[in-house]
Amino acid sequence: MIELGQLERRHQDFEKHNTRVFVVSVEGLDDAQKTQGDFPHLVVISDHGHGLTNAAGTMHARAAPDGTDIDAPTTIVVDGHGTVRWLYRSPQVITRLSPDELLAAIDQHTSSKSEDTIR
Amino acid sequence: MATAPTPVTPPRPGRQYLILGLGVALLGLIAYVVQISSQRLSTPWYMPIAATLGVLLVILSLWNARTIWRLLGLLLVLLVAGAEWTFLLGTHVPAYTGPVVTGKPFPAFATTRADGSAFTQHDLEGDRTNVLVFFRGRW
Repeated sequence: MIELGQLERRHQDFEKHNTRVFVVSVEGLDDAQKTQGDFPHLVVISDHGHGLTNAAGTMHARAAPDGTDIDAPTTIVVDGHGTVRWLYRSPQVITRLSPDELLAAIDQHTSSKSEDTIR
Repeated sequence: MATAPTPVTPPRPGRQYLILGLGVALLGLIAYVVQISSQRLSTPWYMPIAATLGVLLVILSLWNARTIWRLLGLLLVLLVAGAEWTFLLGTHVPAYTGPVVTGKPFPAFATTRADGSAFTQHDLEGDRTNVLVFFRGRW
């Protein structure tokens, strides 16, 4: 949850970048509501039906301590047209992007220059 | 009256390697605690590398003089290094091989927000950039 705390504390920087931050896990609504209460500036998604996780291909099979499936730590940047601009997969469970690294990636991959490159 | 000469403690060759080895291994652990305290979530490769260096130094110490304490020191740093390598390699996440492709539309999906309302790919459309952060949960 350190990652979410960092994102929450830097929410104004994400606003300045005109960016919304959605945090997704396969937990049920009860846990998601607790998370939403802890991090009010993030949009918490309760993907207990795995609709988003399966669509994104981020499931990490049997990786939870109790042997169930959970999301692999992954960050995806999507522009306002719904086009994927960047994807980052943490190499280790204990490794995460810092907010500064994420903001830099947003700058790099959502600029008009990168849009031209992709098109 | 002549006084008896003070007995000279025999040198303990290689003891500095024992102290250095234990210290380097301990330093790796301390550095990781400091890293987590400062909420930096990068991969701490330095930690098992430091412990492995500690193992080599304690072996060097043992090479100079074989004592039970050095043997115990070696056992300790071996355990620390083994645990740290297991910890890091055991937390490896497989590389991404899913359907999301840079430059392509995000795949269609339907899920729910924490308040129970619907959330689909259409909610990503608009004048703002979106970041989807998939995390492991509250535990």
